[in-house]
Amino acid sequence: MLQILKLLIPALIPSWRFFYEIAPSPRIEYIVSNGNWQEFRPRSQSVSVIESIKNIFYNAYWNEYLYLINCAEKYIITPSPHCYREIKERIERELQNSAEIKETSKFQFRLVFVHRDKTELNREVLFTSELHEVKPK
Amino acid sequence: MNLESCIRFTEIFLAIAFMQQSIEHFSSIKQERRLFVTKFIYSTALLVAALISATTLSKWILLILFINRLFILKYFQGPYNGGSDSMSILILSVLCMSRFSTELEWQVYAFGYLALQLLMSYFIAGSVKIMNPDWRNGKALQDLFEFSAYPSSESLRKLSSQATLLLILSWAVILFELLFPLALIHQTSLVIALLLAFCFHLGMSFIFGFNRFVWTWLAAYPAILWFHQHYSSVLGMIWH
Repeated sequence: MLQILKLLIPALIPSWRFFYEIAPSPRIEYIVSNGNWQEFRPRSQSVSVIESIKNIFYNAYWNEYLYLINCAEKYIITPSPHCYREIKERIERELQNSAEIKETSKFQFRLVFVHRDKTELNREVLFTSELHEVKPK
Repeated sequence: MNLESCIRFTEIFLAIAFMQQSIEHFSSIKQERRLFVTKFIYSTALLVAALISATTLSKWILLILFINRLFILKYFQGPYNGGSDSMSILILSVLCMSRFSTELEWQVYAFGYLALQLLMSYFIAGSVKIMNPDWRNGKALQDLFEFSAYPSSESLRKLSSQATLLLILSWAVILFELLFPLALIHQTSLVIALLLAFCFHLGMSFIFGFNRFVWTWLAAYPAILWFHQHYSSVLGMIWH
């Protein structure tokens, strides 16, 4: 009950400090067996106007990505089993549905933070997960 | 707009926002899907109840939706979609309080609080930006496009090189958010400000994919329209 109250109060008394600063930005990357690290859900090259209009009504894929980005940020500040599990399970589910997995394999994910250092952009790996097993569906 | 119409319009828009949110979880895993199918069913019921003015029915549907929202909060250990979740929980709580309150006074307090929070959502966002030198010189928006996780496509990242455009956009956003409370001067200015705000959220949906904000903030607009009408005499005295 106390835990739910803790989650509810920030919604009843919100801070509304949207984008008050542009903090280091997380990227979630994963690697399968002996492959290369790749970005989880890389954004598309461009989005057409029709697609953008459709997205106003239904943008499930993107909203899930934003949720995982939020989990990555929270995990670096305060590591919690919940954030770890959410990132791991959602990557696992996507891999199971992809053609990338043909047999039982191992995967790992890492949290990379991009930030500006004076004029240059730097990438820093702040967390690498342990190995997990993924089976094809 | 009287308070009862305001409550009904808020119920209608919130039901639509909840239905939109729920649909996005229909292809999730079983446990998550179950929570959102429940939310979708009761949001549809709320929409129907609001359209036929079944206030007693609305009251109990709102309570079920509130309990369902607590389970969702627990499931994701917080909001799923940041500010839009906060605003939708706030609106739902205000509606529950209004429908369960037998005193008109408490309904007025609840909707007054929602209207003030809507004003604050723009004003505070503008205040924190104007205090940050990176926002004042356009650098923050440049960073937002260049390396943040938010631009919905790679082609949008190219905007980060348009320094003059981003400086103009930064100030347009800051001034719009900061000056939003002044729209309460007159009903016409308020309607224009709300139309601009709606377009602003549509733009954010196009650029950053923040589609849920469009629907959730829309559900809070009846509260500010009612607030203006209810307190127009008091507001008039303040402005003049």
